[in-house]
Parts: sequence; structure tokens; C-alpha cells
Amino acid sequence: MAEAHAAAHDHHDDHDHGPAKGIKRWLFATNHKDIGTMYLVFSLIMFFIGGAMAMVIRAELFRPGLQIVDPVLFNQMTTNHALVMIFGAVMPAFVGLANWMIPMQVGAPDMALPRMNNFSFWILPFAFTLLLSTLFVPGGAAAAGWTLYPPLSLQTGDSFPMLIFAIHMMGASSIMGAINVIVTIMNMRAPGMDLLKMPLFTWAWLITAYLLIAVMPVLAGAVTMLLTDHFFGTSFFNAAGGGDPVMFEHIFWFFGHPEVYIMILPAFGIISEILPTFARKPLFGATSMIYAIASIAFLSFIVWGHHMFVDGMPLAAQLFYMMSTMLIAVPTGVKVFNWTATLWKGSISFEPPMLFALSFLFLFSIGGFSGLMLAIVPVDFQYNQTYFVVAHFHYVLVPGAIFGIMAAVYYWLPKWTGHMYNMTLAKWHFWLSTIFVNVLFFPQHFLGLAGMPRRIPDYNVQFTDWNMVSSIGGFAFGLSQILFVIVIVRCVRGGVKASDHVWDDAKPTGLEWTLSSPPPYHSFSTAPHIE
Amino acid sequence: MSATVNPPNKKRIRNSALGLLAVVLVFYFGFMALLIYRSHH
Repeated sequence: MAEAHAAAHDHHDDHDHGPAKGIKRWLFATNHKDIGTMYLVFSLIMFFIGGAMAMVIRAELFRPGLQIVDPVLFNQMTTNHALVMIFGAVMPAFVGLANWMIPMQVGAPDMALPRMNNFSFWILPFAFTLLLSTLFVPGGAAAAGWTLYPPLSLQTGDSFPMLIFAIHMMGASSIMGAINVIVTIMNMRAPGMDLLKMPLFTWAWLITAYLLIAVMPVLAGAVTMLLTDHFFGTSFFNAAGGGDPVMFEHIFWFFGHPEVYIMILPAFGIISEILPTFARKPLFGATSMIYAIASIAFLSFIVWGHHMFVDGMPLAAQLFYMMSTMLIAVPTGVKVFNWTATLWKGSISFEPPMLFALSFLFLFSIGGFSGLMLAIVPVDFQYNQTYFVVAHFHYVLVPGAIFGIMAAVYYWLPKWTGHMYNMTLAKWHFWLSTIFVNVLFFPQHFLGLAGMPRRIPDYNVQFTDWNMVSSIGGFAFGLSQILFVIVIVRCVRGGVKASDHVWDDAKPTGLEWTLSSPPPYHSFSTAPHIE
Repeated sequence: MSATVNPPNKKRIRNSALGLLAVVLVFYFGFMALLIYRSHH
């Protein structure tokens, strides 16, 4: 973004108290860095829990036939893997990054609503304890898929109200996080920081927060109506009582499609910060990047019907949803073009955050292209409910959203801890992740095109070979994530001292680099002046 | 805490948070009201 210099500001916070001691520091945390850290640690734990569920799925699918789990538990694994990864791993990780970086990027001392910030984090452990405990109640956990389509989801056992309450808590947490982000950005920017001078990560998060405000209440409304259908005799989605189960799908995907962008727009912001730093060039077309993100956010509200082509809908509706979906390729193309143009004739170096950012650029594009294929109505009729769809959205979410998060952690970790991490181990983590994420998900395109349905524990023998390859990729990808934890833990415990700019020869721009490494407890006790 | 959180700013922060909360409630109850209206017409 525009060059932002902080005038001399006071690094001392001698008028402020430091962190509280012991457990109170975390239980009663109002500091954006402490809350950001808790969000990031929580999301890492959830990443491994959701990953363990994925390993159960891949272990069962290693060979045809039923070997390890019964079909009901398999369906519980697919459902809860999705819920844990989306609401427990990816979204909290981005909120954690927002907590750490937004006040530092806009020159604020903290988030605008610190006590609500504490509340929005501490809801999450309760929400996910409740969600995971459903695996142990009579009738088992939800097994109808994360989309919770009725009437199937209404057949969930005793765990149904627990599931609904857990989703409500996750939604409340996300909404509070989004309100905090918007209010902080709109009210706490340093003097002289116009909106167009804000860094791209902050911009991407501002747009994401508006998406959250608009769609999380819709999900909450939809699951509330499921609850009343189940327990209070309403018929919102019950055809026997005059309701319409397809209406649930419309409402769900009105939330669900923007949700996809909630999980990727902050990653767009991260990549837009990292590529210019390590290409040693300003971001190409920075303003057009902001307009592109805003356009994608707008389009995300009018494309939900592409998830429901096979439900049956008028031809005009099919055409509308197909065209509007394909239109998303235009702003996305602007972004990929700008990222590529930023790299063009740059003096590129390949530190771990840059490696993850470059991998994101290539692999997310694969997910984008398979998304374009799925947007075509007659093609979708063939691919719907096959592993091609699974391959598509995992390319968007794993080397897309998750690699974006990993790139951000490797970019800012030395700033947070004050120590450099082990570059060799981080590069090993990168190469193992990039190789095995492709071994894991690329064969799933072939399986889907050959007709293998998704959400099944058993399959025809003709699909065996690629399932074995995919499972081997899955186990190796999962194991390689242990390296990520080792790099982070070692960096937190010590290491070579990081300078204030961290990536000295790359000269990163932005207010966060004007602070010490690690930054003071309250980032900007005196507002910096932006030239 | 700092110069950035002065009293007029505090008021703006409170008002923006309440405004966004109102939007959230409109979306939450709005969709339910829409479905109830639809089932009666």
C-alpha cells in the first residue's frame, strides 16, 4: 500500500500496566496481542482435531469395503471435520491475525472494544467442547453434512440441540469479532491514514467483516428455524406442514457462499502484503486490488444458486446463477494479474512466507479454474456430488486459505516473538506441505470425473488406486504439519534476535514494521502521524 | 488508554457497534419473518 511512515513515536508504555500474571492474563485478556495469540493457538488445536477426523476418513477410504469405522461414524467424521475446520480452524485463525495485525497496521493502541474481544474469544472453547461432545451422546453427532439439510439433519439424535447451540455460539463469536474489526478500522486509524492508505490485509478484513455481519445472522436464523421445526412443531422446512425443505438450501447457501469468501478474502490481503515485500516492488494496482476484493464480496451475495443446480430451478435462474458465478472470474483475474505483475522483473527471494504465497498463487488458481468448470450448469449436472467437488473446494481452502494463514504466520512470527525461526525447518515444512497437498487432492479430480460419489465410506474397486494415492498424500500432509508446530514452538522459546524490520533487505512497508520486535504491550500509545 | 480513544471517539465507537448490532438483528429476525410471511400468503 501507500508508503506509510510513522513519525517518531514513543515505544515506552510506562504510563500503562503490562500483562497480568499467570492464568488471569489469558482469562481476563483485553490486549489485542494476547487475544490474537489465544485465537491462533485455539485454531491450531482445532486444525489438528479436524485433521485427525480427516485421517479417519482417508484411512477408511484407503481401500474399498468397510474396514475401520461404520458408515454412521464415517458420516459423523465428514460432517464434523468440516464444521471444525471452517468454524474452528480457518475463521479463528484469520480473527487471530486480525487481532494481532489490524491495530498495528492502522496505528491504534488496541481493538476498539477490548472486553467484547475477550468475550468473543472465550465463547469458542465452550462452543467446540459442546460440538465435539456430541460425538459421545446417544445417537452420535450430526451426520447429515455441514450443510445440515433437512429433513436428514432433523433425524440427528440427542445431540441435535447441542449442535444448534454450538453453531449459535460460533456465530455470535464471529459477529462480535466482525463488529470489533469494523469499529476499530473506522474509528481508530491514526491521523492521516485515509482509507486508501490502509494496508491490503486490513482492507481485505474490513470487507470480510461486512460479509460476516450480513451472513452469520442468516445462518443463525436458519438453524433456529431447524430447532423450532424439530422441537416446537413449526413447519418452516417440513413439507408435511406446508413448509419447503428447498427453502432451507436457499437460506443456507445465501450464508454459505459468502462464507467461502470470508475464508479466502483475508488470505488475498495477506498475499498482497507478502508478494511486494519479497519481490522488492510496490504492489501492482493496489487500488484496483481493493475494488476487486469489494467486487468479489458483492458478487458472493448473488451466486448462491450454483450450489443447487440439480435441485431443479427455472432455466432463467440457472442462466443467472451460471453467468454471475463466471463473472467472479473477472475481479479474481484482476487480482491474479496484479500479483503476477508485482512479481514481474522483481528482485525475488524465496523465504518461507514467499514460498507459501507463491504456492497459494498457483494452487488457488487450480481451485478457481475447477470452480469455473462447476459453474457451468450442464457440466455441474455431471460433477455434482462427486469427488470433483471435494477436490475443487479443498484446493480453494487448503493451499488457498490455510497456506495463506501459514504464509502470514511465517511473515509476522518474528515480529510477534522477537526471534527469527529456523528457516531450514520452515522450508521443509513448505515443500512437504506443497508436494503432499497435491498428492492428496489432485487425484480426487480424476476420481470425481470417473464418477466416484462424495460422502461415502465404501466405493467401487475401480476407484482404488487413486484413493490409495490420495490417502498416502493425506497422511504425509498431516504428519508434515508437526514441523509447523516445531518451528513455532522453537521460535517462541528463543532464537536469533529479529530486527524491527525483520526482513531487512526486503524493506517491508507498513506501520507494524516501525514497532520493535516484539512490539510493546500497547502497540501505539501515542498515535503515529502518517505522511 | 491513549489519545486515539478520546470521549467523542468513544461515542462514535459505541454508536458504530450498536448500528452494526442492529443490522445483525435485522438479518436474524428478518429472514424468519420473511418465511412466516411467505407461509401465510
